[in-house]
Amino acid sequence: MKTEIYSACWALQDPALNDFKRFLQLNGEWLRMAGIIYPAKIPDNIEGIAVLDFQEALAKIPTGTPLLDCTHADAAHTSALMLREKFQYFSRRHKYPLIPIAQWLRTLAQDDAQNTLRWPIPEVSSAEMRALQAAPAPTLLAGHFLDAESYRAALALDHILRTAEWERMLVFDQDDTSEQALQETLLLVHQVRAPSRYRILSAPLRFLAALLQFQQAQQDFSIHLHRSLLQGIAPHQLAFYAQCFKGRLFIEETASADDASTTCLSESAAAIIQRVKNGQPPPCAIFGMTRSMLDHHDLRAALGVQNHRISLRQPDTQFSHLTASLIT
Amino acid sequence: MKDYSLKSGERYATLDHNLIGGDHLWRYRYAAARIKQAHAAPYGADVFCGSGYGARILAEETQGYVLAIDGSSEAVACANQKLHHPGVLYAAKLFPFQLPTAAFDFVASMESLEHVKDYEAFFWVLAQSLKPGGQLFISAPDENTMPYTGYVWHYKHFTPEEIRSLARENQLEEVAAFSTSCQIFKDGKARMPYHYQMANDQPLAIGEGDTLFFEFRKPAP
Repeated sequence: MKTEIYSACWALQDPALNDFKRFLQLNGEWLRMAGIIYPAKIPDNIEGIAVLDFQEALAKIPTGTPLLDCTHADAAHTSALMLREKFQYFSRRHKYPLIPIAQWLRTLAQDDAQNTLRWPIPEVSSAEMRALQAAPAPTLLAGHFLDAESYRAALALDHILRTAEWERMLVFDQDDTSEQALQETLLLVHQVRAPSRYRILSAPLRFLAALLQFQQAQQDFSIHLHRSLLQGIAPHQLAFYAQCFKGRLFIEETASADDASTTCLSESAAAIIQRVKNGQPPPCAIFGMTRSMLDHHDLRAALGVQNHRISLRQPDTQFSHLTASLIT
Repeated sequence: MKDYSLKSGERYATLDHNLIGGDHLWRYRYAAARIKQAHAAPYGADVFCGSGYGARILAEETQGYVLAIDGSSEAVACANQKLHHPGVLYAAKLFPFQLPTAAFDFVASMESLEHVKDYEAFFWVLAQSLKPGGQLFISAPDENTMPYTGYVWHYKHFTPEEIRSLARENQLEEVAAFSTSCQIFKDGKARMPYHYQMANDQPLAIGEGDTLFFEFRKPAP
């Protein structure tokens, strides 16, 4: 049986509620937005969801039913403020609690004992969301961050995920791209370790393109990838990269031994965390934390007391674009 | 001259897919999927590529090459700085320009026709640049559902028949026709922009949305 929920307003003007709306889509099997309430009924529906004016809401929705506060996020916007005041008055007078989306999401995560809900962060369960809420927040020293920017990113992302205030991801809208985050991370690692060898573990095209860009400044490295990764590379693309890297691109049948100058490149943290758990942490790795701070927590737990440094770069508003490096 | 700068307010300035309307993303993803079915390592053009996110989708998903052209040199500089796909060449040029004859396996030109005063010449340039068997993906505001009322960045909106007529005049076959939506009806009549919808990343039937989207093909001899 679906749980029916109602919203106060629907924030049409900005993307602040994108992740919340994605959450509703992902969990359409369990949750149904049954009505969007506005002071007046204009129009009949939005996105197929019935619009109810105050009178209809009073007639249809039992007193005490919570209304999700989906008013415009921009508090400086005069019309948004006026609308919010109307909802606050309506809520007080008729005893419909107006609750923030984030508060509702946190309650859902707490109550989802069966872990049936799906979250807009890839491959994250309610149990992990609960565990994150109970975990200590990152600190500069205990977090082993490579630089202050990594710490700031960790702090902001941890807060957003812990509180479910997903709309705050908009603070990362600074016109950056995941390519730029990867270049910046390559440079950070280069400054610390100056790797002479890069081993690509996955997403070969993404990393070859990044290394091609990076080699314009730093040329003294070789690139190694296993033959099985060639499945994702068209012959004309491989020929291009082989030409550009001029004998420094090695396709291997069996992985050669890595030394302290090797940096592993992986599209996700899972492969790196597994190596750490196996007692073979890479000396250096650059990877996507596609599960955002949940990956960070898993990595930190796997590393335990080992000496290490982590860098983090969040280039845009997408949780899955968090780019990390690990130096052990 | 109309304002084609990156932050004119008319175009997406961002490269973050989370901040781009689902309808815009769907059109490029549809085109990429169709191109991939028809061509290996295709060479195509994204004419009026905007911030460049679409050209990157096309190159990445088809493993092909894209000449991405936009009238804003600012947009092109930004794309070159921030997107590093080696298969995409970004170039700044306002129409009119000529493209080589029978050069491309595909041409994508999204939200473009309405910005060109001489849209017939523009359509001809796109059509003649296709190889036999080449695909044209083109979108424009639907005059029937969103009549042109002097919107400052546009010259004209189009009926489905007007675009079909342009295609026929240029010997292109219609393969598919859709509509998409980035607005909602405020009161049953007046539309208001609403990019961040939950489910506008999918096609609608012609007449249901505000923007027309066609796939055409140049017949092989």
